[in-house]
Amino acid sequence: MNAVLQLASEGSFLLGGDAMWETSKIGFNFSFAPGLTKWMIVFWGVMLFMIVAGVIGVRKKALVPTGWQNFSEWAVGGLTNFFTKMIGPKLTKTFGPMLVTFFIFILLSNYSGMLPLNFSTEEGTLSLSNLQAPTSVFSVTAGFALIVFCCVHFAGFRENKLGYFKHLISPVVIMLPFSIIDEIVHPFTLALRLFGNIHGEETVVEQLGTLSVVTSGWVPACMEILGVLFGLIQALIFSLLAAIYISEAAEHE
Amino acid sequence: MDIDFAQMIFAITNFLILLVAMYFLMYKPLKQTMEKRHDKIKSDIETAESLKADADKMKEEISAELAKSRETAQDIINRAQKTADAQKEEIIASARAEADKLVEKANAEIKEEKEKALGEIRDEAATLAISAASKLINQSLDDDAHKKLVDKYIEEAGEVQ
Repeated sequence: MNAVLQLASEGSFLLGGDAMWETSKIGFNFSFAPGLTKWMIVFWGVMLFMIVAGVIGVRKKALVPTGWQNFSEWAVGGLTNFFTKMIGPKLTKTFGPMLVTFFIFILLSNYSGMLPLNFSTEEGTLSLSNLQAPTSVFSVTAGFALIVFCCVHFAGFRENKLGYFKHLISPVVIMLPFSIIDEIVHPFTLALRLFGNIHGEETVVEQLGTLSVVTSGWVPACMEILGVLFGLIQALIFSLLAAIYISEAAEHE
Repeated sequence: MDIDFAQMIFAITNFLILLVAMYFLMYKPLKQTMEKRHDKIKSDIETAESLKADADKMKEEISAELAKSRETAQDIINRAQKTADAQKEEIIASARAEADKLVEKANAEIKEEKEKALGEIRDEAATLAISAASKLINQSLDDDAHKKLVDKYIEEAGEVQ
Protein backbone atom coordinates (compact mmCIF):
# COMPACT_ATOMS: atom_id res chain seq x y z
CA MET A 1 0.00 0.00 0.00
CA ASN A 2 2.90 2.34 0.70
CA ALA A 3 4.15 1.87 -2.81
CA VAL A 4 0.76 2.96 -4.15
CA LEU A 5 0.78 5.99 -1.92
CA GLN A 6 4.29 6.85 -2.98
CA LEU A 7 3.25 6.64 -6.61
CA ALA A 8 0.19 8.70 -5.95
CA SER A 9 2.00 11.47 -4.14
CA GLU A 10 4.35 11.87 -7.07
CA GLY A 11 1.53 12.65 -9.47
CA SER A 12 0.27 16.04 -10.44
CA PHE A 13 -2.34 15.94 -7.66
CA LEU A 14 -2.16 15.98 -3.94
CA LEU A 15 -2.92 12.95 -1.89
CA GLY A 16 -2.36 11.69 1.60
CA GLY A 17 -3.43 12.88 4.99
CA ASP A 18 -1.01 15.75 5.32
CA ALA A 19 -1.04 17.19 1.83
CA MET A 20 -1.07 20.95 2.08
CA TRP A 21 -3.38 23.15 0.05
CA GLU A 22 -0.71 24.95 -1.92
CA THR A 23 -2.85 27.19 -4.06
CA SER A 24 -1.48 30.53 -3.01
CA LYS A 25 -1.29 31.57 -6.65
CA ILE A 26 -5.06 31.96 -6.90
CA GLY A 27 -5.50 33.49 -3.53
CA PHE A 28 -5.88 30.62 -1.11
CA ASN A 29 -3.23 30.81 1.53
CA PHE A 30 -3.56 28.95 4.76
CA SER A 31 -0.28 30.11 6.19
CA PHE A 32 -2.22 31.38 9.19
CA ALA A 33 -3.17 27.80 9.98
CA PRO A 34 -0.23 25.64 8.96
CA GLY A 35 -1.85 22.34 9.97
CA LEU A 36 -4.95 22.94 7.88
CA THR A 37 -5.30 20.52 4.99
CA LYS A 38 -7.72 20.26 2.11
CA TRP A 39 -9.72 17.40 3.53
CA MET A 40 -10.34 19.44 6.68
CA ILE A 41 -12.10 22.04 4.59
CA VAL A 42 -14.11 19.24 2.96
CA PHE A 43 -14.85 17.86 6.45
CA TRP A 44 -16.24 21.23 7.48
CA GLY A 45 -18.11 21.52 4.22
CA VAL A 46 -19.84 18.18 4.78
CA MET A 47 -20.59 19.17 8.38
CA LEU A 48 -22.04 22.47 7.27
CA PHE A 49 -24.11 20.77 4.57
CA MET A 50 -25.50 18.24 7.03
CA ILE A 51 -26.39 20.85 9.63
CA VAL A 52 -27.99 23.22 7.10
CA ALA A 53 -29.89 20.39 5.40
CA GLY A 54 -30.98 19.08 8.77
CA VAL A 55 -32.18 22.46 9.99
CA ILE A 56 -34.09 23.03 6.74
CA GLY A 57 -35.53 19.55 7.04
CA VAL A 58 -36.99 20.03 10.51
CA ARG A 59 -37.73 23.75 10.27
CA LYS A 60 -41.42 23.44 9.46
CA LYS A 61 -42.40 20.62 11.81
CA ALA A 62 -45.52 20.06 9.75
CA LEU A 63 -47.76 17.16 10.73
CA VAL A 64 -48.12 16.32 7.06
CA PRO A 65 -44.55 16.39 5.82
CA THR A 66 -43.72 17.64 2.34
CA GLY A 67 -40.57 18.07 0.30
CA TRP A 68 -37.31 18.22 2.17
CA GLN A 69 -38.96 17.51 5.51
CA ASN A 70 -40.37 14.33 4.03
CA PHE A 71 -36.93 13.30 2.81
CA SER A 72 -35.27 14.09 6.14
CA GLU A 73 -37.86 12.11 8.04
CA TRP A 74 -37.57 9.26 5.58
CA ALA A 75 -33.77 9.18 5.88
CA VAL A 76 -33.45 9.61 9.64
CA GLY A 77 -36.56 7.58 10.48
CA GLY A 78 -35.57 4.81 8.09
CA LEU A 79 -32.03 4.58 9.45
CA THR A 80 -33.27 4.67 13.04
CA ASN A 81 -35.73 1.88 12.31
CA PHE A 82 -32.96 -0.08 10.62
CA PHE A 83 -30.71 0.19 13.68
CA THR A 84 -33.61 -0.52 16.01
CA LYS A 85 -34.18 -3.80 14.20
CA MET A 86 -30.47 -4.57 14.43
CA ILE A 87 -29.65 -3.74 18.04
CA GLY A 88 -32.97 -3.14 19.75
CA PRO A 89 -34.74 0.00 20.91
CA LYS A 90 -32.76 0.55 24.12
CA LEU A 91 -29.34 0.74 22.50
CA THR A 92 -30.77 2.71 19.58
CA LYS A 93 -32.04 5.32 22.02
CA THR A 94 -28.47 5.94 23.18
CA PHE A 95 -26.41 5.22 20.08
CA GLY A 96 -28.95 5.70 17.28
CA PRO A 97 -28.16 9.38 16.66
CA MET A 98 -24.44 8.61 16.56
CA LEU A 99 -24.88 5.71 14.14
CA VAL A 100 -27.19 7.74 11.90
CA THR A 101 -24.74 10.64 11.93
CA PHE A 102 -21.87 8.24 11.16
CA PHE A 103 -23.77 6.80 8.21
CA ILE A 104 -24.76 10.13 6.70
CA PHE A 105 -21.42 11.75 7.34
CA ILE A 106 -19.39 8.88 5.89
CA LEU A 107 -21.74 8.65 2.90
CA LEU A 108 -21.48 12.34 2.12
CA SER A 109 -17.73 12.30 2.76
CA ASN A 110 -17.26 9.42 0.37
CA TYR A 111 -19.28 11.25 -2.26
CA SER A 112 -17.50 14.52 -1.64
CA GLY A 113 -14.41 12.85 -3.07
CA MET A 114 -16.15 12.79 -6.45
CA LEU A 115 -16.74 16.52 -6.68
CA PRO A 116 -14.25 18.07 -9.10
CA LEU A 117 -13.85 21.26 -7.10
CA ASN A 118 -10.17 21.05 -6.27
CA PHE A 119 -8.59 24.09 -7.94
CA SER A 120 -4.90 23.97 -8.50
CA THR A 121 -2.58 26.10 -10.59
CA GLU A 122 0.29 23.79 -11.17
CA GLU A 123 2.65 24.79 -13.96
CA GLY A 124 0.79 28.02 -14.47
CA THR A 125 -2.49 26.52 -15.73
CA LEU A 126 -5.66 26.28 -13.68
CA SER A 127 -6.80 22.70 -13.40
CA LEU A 128 -9.63 20.94 -11.60
CA SER A 129 -9.35 17.67 -9.83
CA ASN A 130 -11.50 15.77 -7.38
CA LEU A 131 -11.67 16.83 -3.78
CA GLN A 132 -10.03 14.67 -1.20
CA ALA A 133 -12.66 12.82 0.84
CA PRO A 134 -12.07 13.06 4.60
CA THR A 135 -12.78 9.34 4.82
CA SER A 136 -9.77 8.62 2.62
CA VAL A 137 -7.51 9.84 5.41
CA PHE A 138 -6.50 7.16 7.87
CA SER A 139 -6.32 9.60 10.76
CA VAL A 140 -9.99 10.42 10.28
CA THR A 141 -11.20 6.84 10.03
CA ALA A 142 -9.01 5.91 12.99
CA GLY A 143 -10.62 8.75 14.94
CA PHE A 144 -14.07 7.45 14.05
CA ALA A 145 -13.03 3.94 15.03
CA LEU A 146 -11.76 5.27 18.35
CA ILE A 147 -15.20 6.81 18.98
CA VAL A 148 -16.80 3.45 18.17
CA PHE A 149 -14.28 1.69 20.44
CA CYS A 150 -15.24 3.96 23.34
CA CYS A 151 -18.94 3.48 22.65
CA VAL A 152 -18.60 -0.30 22.51
CA HIS A 153 -16.98 -0.50 25.92
CA PHE A 154 -19.25 2.16 27.38
CA ALA A 155 -22.27 0.14 26.22
CA GLY A 156 -20.79 -3.09 27.56
CA PHE A 157 -19.96 -1.57 30.90
CA ARG A 158 -23.31 0.18 31.21
CA GLU A 159 -25.29 -2.98 30.50
CA ASN A 160 -23.21 -5.52 32.44
CA LYS A 161 -21.35 -3.37 35.00
CA LEU A 162 -18.08 -4.98 36.14
CA GLY A 163 -19.20 -8.36 34.86
CA TYR A 164 -18.47 -6.98 31.40
CA PHE A 165 -14.74 -7.49 31.87
CA LYS A 166 -15.27 -11.18 32.58
CA HIS A 167 -15.58 -11.87 28.87
CA LEU A 168 -11.87 -11.02 28.51
CA ILE A 169 -10.86 -14.05 30.58
CA SER A 170 -13.50 -16.47 29.44
CA PRO A 171 -13.38 -19.38 29.02
CA VAL A 172 -9.86 -19.42 30.54
CA VAL A 173 -7.57 -16.74 31.87
CA ILE A 174 -4.96 -17.48 29.26
CA MET A 175 -7.28 -16.01 26.64
CA LEU A 176 -6.74 -12.53 28.07
CA PRO A 177 -4.09 -11.30 25.61
CA PHE A 178 -6.03 -12.69 22.67
CA SER A 179 -9.23 -11.10 23.88
CA ILE A 180 -7.47 -7.77 24.20
CA ILE A 181 -6.09 -8.11 20.68
CA ASP A 182 -9.59 -8.99 19.52
CA GLU A 183 -11.02 -5.87 21.11
CA ILE A 184 -8.39 -3.71 19.44
CA VAL A 185 -8.56 -5.42 16.08
CA HIS A 186 -12.30 -4.79 15.74
CA PRO A 187 -12.12 -0.99 15.55
CA PHE A 188 -8.79 -1.19 13.74
CA THR A 189 -10.36 -3.17 10.91
CA LEU A 190 -13.25 -0.74 10.93
CA ALA A 191 -10.88 2.18 10.33
CA LEU A 192 -8.71 0.31 7.85
CA ARG A 193 -11.62 -0.95 5.76
CA LEU A 194 -13.17 2.45 5.29
CA PHE A 195 -9.84 4.15 4.65
CA GLY A 196 -8.63 1.47 2.27
CA ASN A 197 -11.75 1.38 0.16
CA ILE A 198 -12.20 5.11 -0.22
CA HIS A 199 -8.52 5.92 -0.54
CA GLY A 200 -8.05 3.10 -3.01
CA GLU A 201 -11.00 4.20 -5.09
CA GLU A 202 -9.73 7.77 -5.22
CA THR A 203 -6.23 6.66 -6.08
CA VAL A 204 -7.48 4.45 -8.88
CA VAL A 205 -9.58 7.26 -10.33
CA GLU A 206 -6.67 9.67 -10.26
CA GLN A 207 -4.21 7.17 -11.68
CA LEU A 208 -6.55 6.13 -14.48
CA GLY A 209 -7.02 9.78 -15.33
CA THR A 210 -3.29 10.24 -15.88
CA LEU A 211 -2.71 6.94 -17.62
CA SER A 212 -3.26 7.97 -21.24
CA VAL A 213 -5.28 10.40 -23.28
CA VAL A 214 -7.54 7.67 -24.67
CA THR A 215 -8.60 6.30 -21.32
CA SER A 216 -8.51 9.53 -19.33
CA GLY A 217 -12.18 10.32 -19.78
CA TRP A 218 -14.39 7.29 -19.62
CA VAL A 219 -12.36 4.85 -17.53
CA PRO A 220 -12.27 7.08 -14.47
CA ALA A 221 -15.96 7.85 -15.10
CA CYS A 222 -16.78 4.13 -14.90
CA MET A 223 -14.71 3.93 -11.75
CA GLU A 224 -16.65 6.86 -10.30
CA ILE A 225 -19.91 5.06 -10.96
CA LEU A 226 -18.54 2.09 -9.03
CA GLY A 227 -17.41 4.59 -6.42
CA VAL A 228 -21.02 5.67 -5.89
CA LEU A 229 -21.79 2.09 -4.93
CA PHE A 230 -18.65 1.71 -2.82
CA GLY A 231 -19.38 4.94 -0.98
CA LEU A 232 -22.83 3.71 0.02
CA ILE A 233 -21.62 0.22 0.93
CA GLN A 234 -18.72 1.48 3.04
CA ALA A 235 -20.95 3.95 4.91
CA LEU A 236 -23.43 1.16 5.57
CA ILE A 237 -20.75 -1.34 6.63
CA PHE A 238 -19.07 1.09 8.99
CA SER A 239 -22.28 2.07 10.80
CA LEU A 240 -23.63 -1.48 10.71
CA LEU A 241 -20.47 -3.03 12.17
CA ALA A 242 -20.32 -0.30 14.79
CA ALA A 243 -23.91 -1.16 15.73
CA ILE A 244 -23.12 -4.88 15.85
CA TYR A 245 -20.02 -4.37 18.02
CA ILE A 246 -22.03 -2.21 20.41
CA SER A 247 -24.85 -4.72 20.67
CA GLU A 248 -22.38 -7.60 21.11
CA ALA A 249 -20.72 -5.80 23.99
CA ALA A 250 -24.08 -4.94 25.55
CA GLU A 251 -25.36 -8.51 25.33
CA HIS A 252 -22.38 -10.14 26.98
CA GLU A 253 -22.83 -13.18 29.21
CA MET B 1 -0.67 5.36 6.36
CA ASP B 2 0.71 6.74 9.56
CA ILE B 3 -1.63 8.36 12.04
CA ASP B 4 -1.31 12.05 12.67
CA PHE B 5 -2.71 12.51 16.15
CA ALA B 6 -3.50 16.17 15.60
CA GLN B 7 -5.60 15.21 12.58
CA MET B 8 -7.23 12.41 14.51
CA ILE B 9 -8.16 14.79 17.29
CA PHE B 10 -9.46 17.23 14.65
CA ALA B 11 -11.67 14.46 13.20
CA ILE B 12 -12.93 13.29 16.59
CA THR B 13 -13.65 16.80 17.85
CA ASN B 14 -15.41 17.86 14.67
CA PHE B 15 -17.41 14.69 14.54
CA LEU B 16 -18.54 15.16 18.14
CA ILE B 17 -19.48 18.77 17.36
CA LEU B 18 -21.43 17.53 14.34
CA LEU B 19 -23.09 14.83 16.44
CA VAL B 20 -24.20 17.32 19.09
CA ALA B 21 -25.38 19.80 16.46
CA MET B 22 -27.27 17.12 14.53
CA TYR B 23 -28.79 15.76 17.72
CA PHE B 24 -30.18 19.08 18.90
CA LEU B 25 -30.90 20.72 15.53
CA MET B 26 -32.27 17.76 13.64
CA TYR B 27 -32.61 14.46 15.41
CA LYS B 28 -34.51 15.65 18.47
CA PRO B 29 -37.01 17.98 16.71
CA LEU B 30 -37.53 15.41 13.97
CA LYS B 31 -38.26 12.75 16.55
CA GLN B 32 -40.64 15.08 18.36
CA THR B 33 -42.47 15.86 15.15
CA MET B 34 -42.71 12.18 14.28
CA GLU B 35 -43.90 11.30 17.78
CA LYS B 36 -46.48 14.08 17.64
CA ARG B 37 -47.69 12.74 14.32
CA HIS B 38 -47.72 9.21 15.72
CA ASP B 39 -49.83 10.36 18.68
CA LYS B 40 -52.15 12.33 16.44
CA ILE B 41 -52.70 9.41 14.08
CA LYS B 42 -53.25 7.11 17.04
CA SER B 43 -55.79 9.42 18.64
CA ASP B 44 -57.44 10.00 15.27
CA ILE B 45 -57.82 6.28 14.75
CA GLU B 46 -59.19 5.86 18.26
CA THR B 47 -61.66 8.68 17.71
CA ALA B 48 -62.70 7.19 14.40
CA GLU B 49 -63.21 3.79 16.03
CA SER B 50 -65.31 5.19 18.85
CA LEU B 51 -67.29 7.25 16.36
CA LYS B 52 -67.87 4.15 14.29
CA ALA B 53 -69.04 2.24 17.36
CA ASP B 54 -71.38 5.10 18.19
CA ALA B 55 -72.66 5.15 14.64
CA ASP B 56 -73.23 1.40 14.67
CA LYS B 57 -75.12 1.64 17.94
CA MET B 58 -77.16 4.54 16.61
CA LYS B 59 -77.88 2.64 13.43
CA GLU B 60 -79.17 -0.31 15.40
CA GLU B 61 -81.30 1.95 17.54
CA ILE B 62 -82.66 3.71 14.51
CA SER B 63 -83.50 0.48 12.72
CA ALA B 64 -85.25 -0.83 15.84
CA GLU B 65 -87.14 2.42 16.12
CA LEU B 66 -88.00 2.24 12.43
CA ALA B 67 -89.39 -1.26 12.78
CA LYS B 68 -91.44 -0.15 15.75
CA SER B 69 -92.72 2.87 13.84
CA ARG B 70 -93.61 0.69 10.90
CA GLU B 71 -95.57 -1.61 13.19
CA THR B 72 -97.40 1.30 14.75
CA ALA B 73 -98.19 2.72 11.35
CA GLN B 74 -99.55 -0.63 10.19
CA ASP B 75 -101.64 -0.77 13.34
CA ILE B 76 -103.03 2.68 12.72
CA ILE B 77 -103.83 1.83 9.12
CA ASN B 78 -105.58 -1.37 10.17
CA ARG B 79 -107.63 0.42 12.75
CA ALA B 80 -108.56 3.16 10.30
CA GLN B 81 -109.53 0.54 7.77
CA LYS B 82 -111.79 -1.12 10.30
CA THR B 83 -113.38 2.14 11.35
CA ALA B 84 -113.89 3.10 7.75
CA ASP B 85 -115.54 -0.24 7.00
CA ALA B 86 -117.83 0.11 9.99
CA GLN B 87 -118.74 3.64 9.00
CA LYS B 88 -119.37 2.52 5.45
CA GLU B 89 -121.75 -0.17 6.61
CA GLU B 90 -123.53 2.28 8.85
CA ILE B 91 -123.87 4.88 6.13
CA ILE B 92 -125.12 2.34 3.63
CA ALA B 93 -127.65 0.98 6.13
CA SER B 94 -128.97 4.40 7.04
CA ALA B 95 -129.17 5.38 3.39
CA ARG B 96 -131.07 2.22 2.62
CA ALA B 97 -133.47 2.87 5.49
CA GLU B 98 -134.00 6.40 4.35
CA ALA B 99 -134.65 5.25 0.83
CA ASP B 100 -137.15 2.62 2.03
CA LYS B 101 -138.93 5.23 4.10
CA LEU B 102 -139.10 7.58 1.13
CA VAL B 103 -140.41 4.84 -1.13
CA GLU B 104 -143.04 3.86 1.44
CA LYS B 105 -144.12 7.45 1.83
CA ALA B 106 -144.32 7.92 -1.88
CA ASN B 107 -146.37 4.75 -2.23
CA ALA B 108 -148.77 5.89 0.50
CA GLU B 109 -149.17 9.26 -1.18
CA ILE B 110 -149.77 7.64 -4.53
CA LYS B 111 -152.43 5.37 -3.02
CA GLU B 112 -154.15 8.27 -1.28
CA GLU B 113 -154.09 10.36 -4.45
CA LYS B 114 -155.52 7.40 -6.33
CA GLU B 115 -158.33 6.98 -3.82
CA LYS B 116 -159.08 10.66 -3.98
CA ALA B 117 -159.09 10.69 -7.74
CA LEU B 118 -161.35 7.65 -7.89
CA GLY B 119 -163.81 9.30 -5.52
CA GLU B 120 -163.87 12.45 -7.54
CA ILE B 121 -164.35 10.49 -10.76
CA ARG B 122 -167.20 8.59 -9.14
CA ASP B 123 -168.96 11.79 -8.10
CA GLU B 124 -168.35 13.38 -11.46
CA ALA B 125 -169.67 10.29 -13.20
CA ALA B 126 -172.83 10.34 -11.06
CA THR B 127 -173.49 13.97 -11.82
CA LEU B 128 -172.85 13.42 -15.52
CA ALA B 129 -175.07 10.38 -15.51
CA ILE B 130 -177.85 12.25 -13.80
CA SER B 131 -177.73 15.16 -16.17
CA ALA B 132 -177.42 12.85 -19.14
CA ALA B 133 -180.31 10.74 -17.98
CA SER B 134 -182.55 13.72 -17.25
CA LYS B 135 -181.79 15.05 -20.68
CA LEU B 136 -182.43 11.67 -22.33
CA ILE B 137 -185.68 10.62 -20.71
CA ASN B 138 -186.75 14.19 -20.19
CA GLN B 139 -188.98 13.17 -17.39
CA SER B 140 -188.75 13.76 -13.71
CA LEU B 141 -188.34 10.82 -11.44
CA ASP B 142 -188.95 10.64 -7.82
CA ASP B 143 -186.01 10.70 -5.61
CA ASP B 144 -186.10 6.97 -4.82
CA ALA B 145 -186.39 5.94 -8.43
CA HIS B 146 -183.70 8.45 -9.27
CA LYS B 147 -181.32 7.11 -6.73
CA LYS B 148 -181.95 3.52 -7.69
CA LEU B 149 -181.08 4.34 -11.23
CA VAL B 150 -177.92 6.14 -10.32
CA ASP B 151 -176.68 3.32 -8.14
CA LYS B 152 -177.37 0.84 -10.88
CA TYR B 153 -175.40 2.95 -13.28
CA ILE B 154 -172.49 3.27 -10.97
CA GLU B 155 -172.44 -0.41 -10.39
CA GLU B 156 -172.35 -0.98 -14.08
CA ALA B 157 -169.59 1.61 -14.43
CA GLY B 158 -167.65 -0.05 -11.66
CA GLU B 159 -168.02 -3.42 -13.30
CA VAL B 160 -166.88 -2.02 -16.61
CA GLN B 161 -163.88 -0.50 -14.94
